[in-house]
Parts: sequence; structure tokens; C-alpha cells
Amino acid sequence: MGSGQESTRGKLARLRRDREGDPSAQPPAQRRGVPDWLAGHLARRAASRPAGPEEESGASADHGWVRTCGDPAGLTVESNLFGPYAVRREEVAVSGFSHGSFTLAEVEHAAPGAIARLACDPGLSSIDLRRAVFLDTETTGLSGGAGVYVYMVGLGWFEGERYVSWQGFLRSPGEEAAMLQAVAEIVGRADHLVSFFGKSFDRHRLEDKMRIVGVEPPFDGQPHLDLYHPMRRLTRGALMDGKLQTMERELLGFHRARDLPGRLAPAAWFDYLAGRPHLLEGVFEHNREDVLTLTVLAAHLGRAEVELRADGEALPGPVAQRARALMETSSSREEKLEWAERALRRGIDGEDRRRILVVRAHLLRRLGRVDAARLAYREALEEAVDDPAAVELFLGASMLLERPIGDRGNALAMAQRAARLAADIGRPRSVLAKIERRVLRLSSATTG
Amino acid sequence: MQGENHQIGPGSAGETGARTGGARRSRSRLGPEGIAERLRSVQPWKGRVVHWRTAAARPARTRSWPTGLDPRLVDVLQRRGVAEPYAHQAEAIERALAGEDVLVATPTASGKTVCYTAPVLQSLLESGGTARSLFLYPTKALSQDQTVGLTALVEELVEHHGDSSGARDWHAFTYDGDTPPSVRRTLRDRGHMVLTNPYMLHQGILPNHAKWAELFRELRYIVVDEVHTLSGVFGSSVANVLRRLVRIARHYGADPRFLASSATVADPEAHAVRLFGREVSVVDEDASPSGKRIFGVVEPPVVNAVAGLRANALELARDLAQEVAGPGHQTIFFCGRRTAVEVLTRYLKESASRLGLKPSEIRGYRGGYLPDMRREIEAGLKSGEVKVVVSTNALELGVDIGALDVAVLVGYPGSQASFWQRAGRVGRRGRASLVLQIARSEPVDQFLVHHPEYLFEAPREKLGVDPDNLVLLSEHVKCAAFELPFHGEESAVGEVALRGELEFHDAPHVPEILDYLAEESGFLHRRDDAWYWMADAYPAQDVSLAGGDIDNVLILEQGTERAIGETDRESSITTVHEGAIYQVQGVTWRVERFDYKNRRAYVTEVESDYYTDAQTDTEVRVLRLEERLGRDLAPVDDSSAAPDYDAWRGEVHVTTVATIFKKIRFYTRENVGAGDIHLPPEELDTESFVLTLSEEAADQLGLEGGDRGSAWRAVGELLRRVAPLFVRCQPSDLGLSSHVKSPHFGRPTIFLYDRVQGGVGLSELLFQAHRDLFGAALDVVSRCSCELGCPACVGPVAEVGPQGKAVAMRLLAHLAGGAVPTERDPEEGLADDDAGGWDSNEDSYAQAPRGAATEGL
Repeated sequence: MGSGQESTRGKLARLRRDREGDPSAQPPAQRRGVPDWLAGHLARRAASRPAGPEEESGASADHGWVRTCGDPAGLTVESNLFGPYAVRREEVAVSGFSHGSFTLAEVEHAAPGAIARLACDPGLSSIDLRRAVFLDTETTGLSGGAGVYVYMVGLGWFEGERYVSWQGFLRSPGEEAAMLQAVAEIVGRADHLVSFFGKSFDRHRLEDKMRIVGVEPPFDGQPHLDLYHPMRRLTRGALMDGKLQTMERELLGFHRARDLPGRLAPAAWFDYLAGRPHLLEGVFEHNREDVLTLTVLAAHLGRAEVELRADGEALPGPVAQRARALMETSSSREEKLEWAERALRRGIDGEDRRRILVVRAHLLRRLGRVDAARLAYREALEEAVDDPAAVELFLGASMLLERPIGDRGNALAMAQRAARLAADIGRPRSVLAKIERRVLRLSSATTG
Repeated sequence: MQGENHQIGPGSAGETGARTGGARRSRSRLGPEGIAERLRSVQPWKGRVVHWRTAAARPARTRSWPTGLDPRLVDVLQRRGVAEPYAHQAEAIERALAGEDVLVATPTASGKTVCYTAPVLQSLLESGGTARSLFLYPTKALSQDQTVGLTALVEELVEHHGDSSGARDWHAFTYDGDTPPSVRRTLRDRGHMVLTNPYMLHQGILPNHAKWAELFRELRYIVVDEVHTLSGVFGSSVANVLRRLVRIARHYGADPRFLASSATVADPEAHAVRLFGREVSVVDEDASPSGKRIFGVVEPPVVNAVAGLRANALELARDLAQEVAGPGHQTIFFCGRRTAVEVLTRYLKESASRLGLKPSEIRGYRGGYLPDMRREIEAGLKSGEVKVVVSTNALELGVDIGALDVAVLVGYPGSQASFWQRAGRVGRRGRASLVLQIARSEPVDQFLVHHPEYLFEAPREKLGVDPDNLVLLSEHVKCAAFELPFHGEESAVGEVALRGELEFHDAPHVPEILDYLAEESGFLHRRDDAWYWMADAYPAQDVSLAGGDIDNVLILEQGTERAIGETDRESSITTVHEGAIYQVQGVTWRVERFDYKNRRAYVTEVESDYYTDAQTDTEVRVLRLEERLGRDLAPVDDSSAAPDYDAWRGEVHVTTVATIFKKIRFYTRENVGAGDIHLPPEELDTESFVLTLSEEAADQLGLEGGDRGSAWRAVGELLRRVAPLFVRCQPSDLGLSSHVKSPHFGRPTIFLYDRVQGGVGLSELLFQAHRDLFGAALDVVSRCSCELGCPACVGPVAEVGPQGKAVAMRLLAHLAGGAVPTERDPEEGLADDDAGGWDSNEDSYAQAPRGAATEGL
């Protein structure tokens, strides 16, 4: 792409040219306007004026998309009782379609139990990805509120051997009701909804807009898999951030040829509506790929418990963090202990490691494995003696020494250490009081 | 030691107990009537209370409950001891049930609440619990009080009519900035009665109306409490917020009615019509009973006959406390300024033992205190533990503190409505009450000393509300466009008008504003005849309802970061600049650092024997003149007529910068030092009333020499101070700038401008009433007993010079008399028509007007 090498001076010259050549940049010739004084007043107050087109194109240097004019390509117009709306629809054959190192066919092998477990949502325990709808939206802003438009809704679903990519698009704000009605119908037909951060964002944007235009929202009562939380649980500490693009790169091996940054999405639509050259092609592509990533990421999640792909290959992704996630979501002490041991063996580090050392020691004590527990507390304390976590360790060790081991003197010493450290690091009063009671009880028992 | 009837208040510590005992016992029998009797008969008060008036006790007028009111509601209200409602309550409920929009305009404590709670609960009973209502209160404290009241009513309904009422699931919630996000959702879905304030409605609820769809779909009533507080910029903004609210409710298919309450004001109907944009049925005959009420107007003694100097009103209030405060009853002092509240609180606490009180029984109360402290003081007043409270207008509104016994108003509060709200704080059922108004050395106060009847006759002040103020309208059209698109339709002649937008339909220029927002600002997208919000922004965030409500400055203790209080941004430059003494409940803090940008002031506690008073410097530039009334001098001989005075209305740009502060010692009020203030200027674009006098008239009236500037300035100050008689505002709502030779007009000029961003229309009211203003100002000066000027009229002779009073009086007599001015072209006779004065340099104004003044004649 040549624009990457373009000099600043050249860029400015081009921008100026673009702007001058753009008819909408000129004030309209004849207009019945507000009184002049008011115009002056408004202009003075326009400090919060939205970004003009030049700012967006200034940032366009390296995303690889060029501007186009007029309606995006490949739109078909459909209509329902609310009127017409536009859709870009593509279908691919499921078999053989790959997205990074995964194929769409791998959704077949996703285990619902693994998904429900890692999403911490029992409502998903019978999820069938082939009967789910995958959703991602493009909006005119993140601020929320009635003035934000959801101008593109990307959906994906399976139809037999085919995978449908459906992108509803507003050619004008007036098509909102019709497009949202179509979305509500498709989403309502599916058994499950899958999104990335959609429980916090997309769902509410759509629901709000549907309420405003009088479309019945389909979301209540429908199980919703928001991939953000389980994927974050599986990778926290191993990936640089929790973004979808990072996950698709690191977990799915999918690299986008060119990608339009999400922050340019609002301006792309504003430019389109105003008749200016726009970057909507980039938005369509970005949105379509996001939905595909959601689909394949869900398949990935469904294999996380067995840690193997359908073909028996190892599942890509950070293994120590995965063990930690499975530890956190285990339902029995034995299983939890096993995943804790694995996480440690796989080299989990930093605060996670200290936390897991604590968990392991407590688990061993509760499982009655006294010697192993004693060893585990010792090992943990060696590493974490200055750590806030040591309060728990001193306390746990104190309990271990008191009950199964019967060494009250050392149990008291441990409790006193816990008390001192807790006071030093400023634990809440309730915690301090609890430790204090323990110290008192043990000291009276020892002296008695 | 302490008497057996002592209540030990928090922090009493007993340190004054021994000394207080005697005074406490002897003073505990003081009561309002006894106090009045003493003030009437004992010097020096006998001579200082210049006017007495007594209103006899008045019995209640009651009626039977309206027949349409659900018997279950009647039962619950009767169980509360209301056998029959007052006539005005019955009337209001009846009209509300008939589907009318109702405003109840009766005094404090006349039972306005039931006028709207009854219809609201009736709507819930009738709808089987689906109806919703939204309540708007001017303050958070009020909405919290009322939530408790409504909840109690619902509980009583359930208790006595359980199954038949279905009230078990009805909920009243306060929704404000303190509502935790975790409960907001429940409240949105299940709140039958949502109590909030205009700010929250403007920035939280309306822009997110989809989340409140349940409320809007079933919205029956919009209750607006204390509508007399909705005046000026704030009122004009709220009127637009209400337009947006009704527009959204209609979108969801609801058609809510307004139920409003107000203090007694002039022409409440006109006010309500402007505020709600529709006809409103007004109930304003108070039928509630009242005990005997005694009023007195107190004039501070002359302390310097030559200079005509009267004693300071605050000092007088301190002396008066000796007579009116005591352990056996409750007294409230109202002061105009926060500093005054703190100074008086300090004085009273220091003399507590002589009043027979403990310092902890004397409290200050004002905006800027933290909520917990305010709640504690309110509770103390209600329980009777607090015997004396010194307050700003913060206790003027309906915060529930129970009825007190004696009110002392240190200075006229600026409007009759305020006066009566403050007076309404006293008067328990079946007991006499006393209200004392202390006159300051201010023209308005002095006017009232001579015209006390003004206080007692029907209110005259108009509430300045202008929902169609184009600046405010534009801002709210912008917010409204974010909330729902606007639709227009083209008429046969090609004019575009709004379609179906009943709320904004009558407002001027809305299609043009929408076009401007689409084409120039880029906030909207116009397609066919609809305007859609089209920007990544949240407009309500940038639109303030009234100056300074959002940008509060937090006052923190240096080091601990503990919050001490807060102040609005506008006053911050004069109250929390570095070196300022900030006072809370008599404790003094010095401001060590003022982080202006981040709105934080850091203070340390100090033992200060002085407080600070900051001075500001203001520059006014004319942006545009819109209207003008002028007249000519009567021709002296055959020469052509010369111009006389002109009154104008237009837009100005005002720059205010805090310059220095003075340190003033408590009690002696001597100046003990000064310091510089280094803060950025405050900028204001606003509207102004302008008065100019031609050079010819100035010559004729002897406005010359050294007295010239001071007499002219005195006229301006007088006009500013009498303005509240005609316009509902405080003198401090108006900025004043006077010039002997203004750069813009080249002649003597006085600017009286709205001190609020964008202006609110006060200047327009002044423009219309300017002749009356001259008359009232003249009245103040001519009735003043001083010889050569005093603070009560034109200022002390030391300021205005030996001729000052005479010249000012001549000027005012001239302005107030003679022919009525006629409409003129605002730009005529002024230079540089194209630039409107904005960009021109000063030289060009300085010479042009003279020649130009005669040119057009």
C-alpha cells in the first residue's frame, strides 16, 4: 500500500484536495437559516463538535482499505411489515472452509459441557452450535443512549451443510425498524445466541433500539453464550489483551489480510450517509470476519476441557492458563487439585502461581492428605512469605497443625504470624477479628 | 449542673454546662408572642422595629372528599387524621381526577403533597397497578423525603385494604446520582413512582429512554414540585426538558398530565403555561388554618449620622439573637450568602452560653455541606435538639424540618416568593409565630422599610421563564434529536414545519435549528423530511441546565483527601482561591492549593481570626444589539432635536477575573491584609440591558467633572439593586458594568447583564420595565434621609463626592420623567454596521457616534 509511505506533507496536500473536491464540504448555497446571532452563538459553542471527515482519513494510512462511493456492493433489498431493508448475504460450504487453522466443521465436536462449565452458565449445558446464531454489531458510538445507531448487524448460522453469513445494513436511518425486525426474527429462531462481549454491549444496544422502534426484542429467555468471559478465563495473563483479534490470532491462527479499526466504523457510515467517499467495504469485511471468528472460537471453547482438537491434535493456546481456568471451574476437590497440580507443572507464574499454591495446600488439607498438605504449605510459604496470600497460608497451616497434627504450640505461632501480617497489610477489621479469635482460643488452650 | 429538661446534644462535652444553666432556665420560657411583646416595649428594639403587622389566626376551610376518589384512599387518608380535606386540596384532586393538568399554588405547609399523591395512587388503583408516574423535585433531599412518604402511604393501603388494593407490588423509588447502578435496573422495570430531579431526567433518563420504556408506555402523571424554583435559565431549560419528556412519552403512546405545586407567586397560571406548554388549571386559594403570625421589620440604627452609615445587618442579627434565641423554642436565621451563614454561626456559637444554649444546639446549614451533615442537622431540627439554625436559601424549599417558631431574615431575600417561603418555616399548629425582617443598607431593603406594605400585598414579581430562548432551545433540540428523530413536512409554499411534534411545534425556528445542526455542526443527518442524530457524541453531557450545576469544585483536606464540602465553579474563583479562608460550621480552613483544572481545592484547618473577601474585575464587550428604545431631548431653541437616552437589549461577552482578596477580621471587620489571586478568567456570552445617555443630555444634567463617574456608577448600582422588585432574581443574578464613556457607544453607558451563559431573558424583562426601574430607584434616593449620600442609596459621600447624590437624583428624575421612548433601529447612529462591534478596534467607536448621532435625524 502506497499510503503507508506517503509523506506527511503529501498527505496533507491530498487531504486538502479531497476536501475541496468534496461538494458536501461546501456550505449550501441557499438555506433558510437560524438567525445570524444564534448561528454565531452555536458556532462559538461548537467545542464538542464531532470529528470531521479529514480526521478519519488522516488515520486511514495503514488499515489497507480505500474509500468507495455510494451503496456498498452486493446488497439485496428485502422487506417486511416495517418496510425495506438491505442485506449482504453469503453462503459457504461448511466442509473445507477454514478460518485460520480451524475449519467450520469443527463446531460439530464442541462439547456443550465444556462450554457451560467455562462460561459458568448451566443454561448452556445443552448448547448446539449448529443451532445457534452468531452475532456482532457495528454502531455509531460506544457512549450508549437513544442516539446511537446499530447500523450493521452481522449474523452467522448453519443451514445443513452450508454456513450463512448475513449482514443487515441501514442505507438510511429510516430503515432501522425493518432491519431490526429481520434481526429479531432470525435471532428468535435460533436456540442459542453467541457473541463476544454481547451481554454487556450488543444485546443492550439492539434491545434499546428495538424498543424504540416497536420491535419485540428476542433476547429474554434465550441462552446467550458471551465468549468474552470464558475466553478471557482461558487466556488471562498469557495474551496481551482480551480483544477478539488477539484471540483469533493466538488461538485460531487467523491473521486478517487487512482490517479496519473498529473506531473508524461510526465515521464510515456518517461519510456514506453524507454522500462522501467512505470505508464501508472495510466495515463489512471486518464485521463478517468477526462473526466467523466467533463461530470458530466457540468450537475452540468446546474442546478446551479435553484439550484436544477433533482430530486428536493438541488444542492451540496457553496451556498453563487453561489448567488454571479448569481448576477454577472444577466441581470436585479431587479434580480441582489435579488441575492445580497441572497448572503448576505447566509453569504458571507470578501471582497466579502463588494463588494456586495456596489453593493446592488448602485442598490437600481438606482432602485429609496431611503430609502432602504440610509439604504444600511449606513450599507455598517459602515462595509467598511476603505476599498477602501468606495470611491464608499461615492460617491454613495453623489449622493443619491444630487439628490433624495436634501441634497446638506451632498452630498458635502460625496464627500469630497470620495476625501480624494481616495487621501489617491492613486487612479489614472483620478478618483481623477472626484471626484474633483464633489466636486467643489457641493461646488459652496452650496455656491451659 | 445541667437542668433536668436538658437534652444532651452531640458534642456538648459539658464545657458550657455550668455557665449555661442559669441563662438556660431563665430563657426557657421565651415564646414568639412574649418575644414580640418585649421587642415592642423595650429599648433599643422598640425604636428599631419600624413596622409591626399581625395576621390573626385563621381557621381551616374544609370540604368533603371528592366523590370520584377511591374509598380505600379516602379511608387511608382519614386514618392519618385527615377527616376532610381543605377546600383547595379537594378542588385540586377533583380537577386532576377529571383529567386536567393542575397547579396548586399555596404557601408552605398548606398540604400540597396530597393534591398529587391522591390522583397518582388513584391511577394505580384504577389500572390495577400498571400506571406509572414520574416526580420531579428541585433537590435530592426533597425526592428522598417524598419517597419515604409515598412508600408509607402504599404500606398503609396494603395494611388496611391488602388484597383489594393490589398495592403490595407498588414501588416508589428515588432515582438520582446516588442510586447504585445495581438497583437501577429493578427500578426501571418495577418503579411505579419514580422520584428524580431535572438534572437526572435531562442527562440520565431521557437520553436512555429505551431502558425506561416501561415507565413511558404507562406514564399517567408528571408531578413537578415547587415550580416557582423553575425560573430563569434553570426554569427555561427545565421547560425544554419537559418538552423532551412529553415528546418521548407520546412516542410510546402515553399522554401524561402535569400535577404541579408552587409557592404563592404572581400569575402562577402564566408561569405554568410557559413551563408546560399547555393550559393548566390553577388552584390558589389557601384553605389551610394558621396560627397567629406576627411580622416585624427591623432597621439597624444609624451609627454615623454624617456618613449616613447604618449598623451592619449581620451584627444586628447577632444582637437580636439575645432576644429571639433560647432553649425553649426554635429559631431560624436566613442569610443571603454562604459566608454570612458561617460568620453568624460562629458568632452565635461563641455567645451560646448567654443565649442559654450549648454550641452544639446552634448549627449552620447551606449548600456545599456534605449530605450526611445536612441529614443530621435536619433530623436535629425535627427532633427539637437543634435550637438555632443559620441557613441560606437551602432551607427555603420543602425539606422536612418540622415547623419552627421564630424566623429572622437577615436582609430581603430578593423576592416575595422567597420571603413567604422563608416566613413559612415558622408557625406550629395552634401557636403564634414571629417573623423579623432585618433591613440591610441596601436600596431594596430600605425601600421595604418605607414601603412595608409591599411585602404583604399580592406578589408582583414575574417569574422569568423563556422556553423559546433560542440558545437554550437549540441545545435542547439537539438533545431531543439524539433521543428521537424529528420529522417535518413541506407546505405548499415550500416551508418545512415539524410534523406531529406537538411539544416543539410552537417553538420558533426549530426546522432551521435542525438544518443548522445538520449542515453546519454535523450533528444531524437530514434525509427527506426527517432529521436523525448522526454523531458519536452524547449531547446532554455538554448541556447544562443552569450555570455551574455540573462542574462543582470539591474541597478536600490536604493530606488526607477527606471531603470537607463543595462549591460551584462560578463562585470557586472567589471562595477557594489560594489563601482564601473557607468556613464550615464556624471552623476555619485555609485553602493551600486550588487545582482549578481538576476542580479540587486543598485546605488545612487553621485558627483564623479573619475571613476573606475576594474582588473581581469585569469587562463587557458588545456582540450585537437587538432592540432599542430611545427619545430626544426637548429642543431648547430652534436647533434640531438632540438625542437623550437610549435603552437597548443585546448580546455581550463578559470576561471576569478574580484579582485580589482582602482579609477581614471577625467582629471588628477591619481590613488586616490582602493577597493576589492568579486564576484564569471566567468567560460569559450573555444578554444585556444597556442604558446610554447622550453627551448632550449628560451636559444638561451636569454629569461632569469628578463626580461624573461615581454618580453614574451609583445609578447603575441602584438599578441593579431595585431590579428584583420587577424581575424574579437576586441582585447577584445581574452583572453590572458602567462606563462614563464606553468604547462601544462613546457615551455614558450602563450594562446590566444576565450572569448566566447564554442569558435567560432577565435583560429583556429589564428592557421592558426600565421606566419602572428608574422610578423605583428615584424613590429610594429621594426618600433616603441622608444628606449627601449613604450606602442605602447612592453610596457614602466618600465614594460619590459631595455632588454625587444630587447628580444621581437629577439623572434618575430625568430618566423616569418626560416622554416615553420609542422604538429605534438598534444599529442606527453607531459605527461599523457590518462588524457589529465584535472585531472593531476602539478608536473607531470612540469618535464615530457623535457625528453619527445626528446624521439619521
